[in-house]
Amino acid sequence: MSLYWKCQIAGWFFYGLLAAGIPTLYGGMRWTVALRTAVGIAIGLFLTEQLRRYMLRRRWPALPLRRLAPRVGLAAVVVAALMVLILLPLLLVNITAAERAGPLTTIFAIHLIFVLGWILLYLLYHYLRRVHMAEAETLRLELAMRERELSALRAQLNPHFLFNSLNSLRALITESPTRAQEAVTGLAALLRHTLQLSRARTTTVADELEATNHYLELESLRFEQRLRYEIDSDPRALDLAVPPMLIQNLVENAIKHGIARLPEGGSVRVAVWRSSRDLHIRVTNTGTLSDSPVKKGIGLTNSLARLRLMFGERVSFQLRQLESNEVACDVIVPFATRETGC
Amino acid sequence: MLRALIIDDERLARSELRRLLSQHPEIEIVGEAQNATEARKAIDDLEPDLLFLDVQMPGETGFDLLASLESVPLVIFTTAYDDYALRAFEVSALDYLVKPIDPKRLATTVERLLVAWRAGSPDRPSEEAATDRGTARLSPHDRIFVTEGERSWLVELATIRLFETEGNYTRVFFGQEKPLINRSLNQLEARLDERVFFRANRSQIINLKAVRRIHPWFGGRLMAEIEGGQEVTLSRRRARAFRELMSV
Repeated sequence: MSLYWKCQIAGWFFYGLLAAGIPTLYGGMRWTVALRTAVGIAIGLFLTEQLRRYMLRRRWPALPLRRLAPRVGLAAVVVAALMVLILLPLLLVNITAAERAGPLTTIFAIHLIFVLGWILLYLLYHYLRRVHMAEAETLRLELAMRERELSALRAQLNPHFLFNSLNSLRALITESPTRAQEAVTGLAALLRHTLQLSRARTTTVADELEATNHYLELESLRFEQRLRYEIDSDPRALDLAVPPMLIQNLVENAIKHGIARLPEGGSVRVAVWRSSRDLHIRVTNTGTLSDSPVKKGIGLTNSLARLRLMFGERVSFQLRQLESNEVACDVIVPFATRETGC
Repeated sequence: MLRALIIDDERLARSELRRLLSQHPEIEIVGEAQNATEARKAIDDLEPDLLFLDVQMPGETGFDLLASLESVPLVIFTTAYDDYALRAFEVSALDYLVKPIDPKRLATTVERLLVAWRAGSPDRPSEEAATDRGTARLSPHDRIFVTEGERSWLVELATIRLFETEGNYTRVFFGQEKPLINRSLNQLEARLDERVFFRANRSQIINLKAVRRIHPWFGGRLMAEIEGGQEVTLSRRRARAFRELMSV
């Protein structure tokens, strides 16, 4: 049973106690008193339930106090008057002076206080619940925001990559201190690139390729001879703008879905060049496209969304199987429109 | 002395773990493997007591490897990142280490492992079983690895109360769970300890230790009530075998 009905029953039981108890004290229990009480409880339950529906329909719990107060007063008077009116035949028929708890005005006043108390309790409950829900909502929003910040960070540097690199580094410290030092420098450069650019909208192809190179160096600590790579860039493309992490995310996917799945390993090739109107980025890796629909990583989805925001819908992205056991990912970004626009 | 096999696709990760384990003379590293295929062969050849197992490997994952093993030795998972697959694990009896591995955390894990190992070893398949694993029957204390959907279990055979055939697969009943495993009932029967696991009829094998009550049934059959309230009928032929087994 809901809290509402528990309170209803308790409240009207209390009403019955008063309505039957007071006359009984004066003149003993009579069937008229019992009947009156029973009818009173029934009408009370019925009317307050109708009132509740009306209040909810008219959204009383959301009204400001200034507009709520007169409505509550009026509703209490109407409901109390209705109750007394309906009870009137039973109050007047077969009535003795001793049975009467007081004149009709007193009876009306008692009913009025009772109904008013009912309404106030009901609204108080709604008010407290709203306060509680507002708090919960605030908390939920805060959590959602933090979650979003976190996932933005996560999308930028894959934790698997970070911790695997640190693990390789730990081993390298004893095995080859010189290489360990180089790896620390590379990791630092990569972290700096990621942190600085997480807020920036664009970076240059040159910067992005440098970060990608650090990334590949670190990955080859893990994969050793299983990963071979080359980066091929057109000098005329180096100053063009790209969203930060775009090329690195493409390479990350090539490793995750290509090289990491192959026990024998394979190679990754990055090629960047410029045509008359477009910037072309192609990342090729050993491997085969899975039959399942291509799932793009969070990183790639983010990059593409940013790409579309920056350069409009003309951005093209294509993932395809080349004949020779190789997968190629092509991104074509029109830069001409942006340059003339600036 | 615990004989351990290190399974990880990265050479540096393996050598780092080897270096860390050199502080623990109780653990002898008997071999290394770079992927699931190599690991399976090494497990067959070397029969290690313990696997240090990387979850993410090219080809088959660490989970795929475990699921393909007939019985699973002690396992410590190693992972670079708190993996959802490990958190989904239903059995708390297993441990995992995050890379880079904290030497103190490793020491605690090794200590706990040795305690469990020493407590369990008297019951474990002793030398005779270990010498001829290929044909020897599994002990009730051997564990199998079971996955269903996102969930995985390492189940000690002794806790399984019922095996039931389902096509080419077998449904195993333990606790509240009843996942499917990729082995036929006949294959299982050939490897299970017949003193504990009894073929009740064409489609079911019951754990005799899980039998609560047995009553005679129609036509010379028997009805066994096992834990969990399931009822299993012993076919006439198997009922005769059961009576013989019990009278010995």
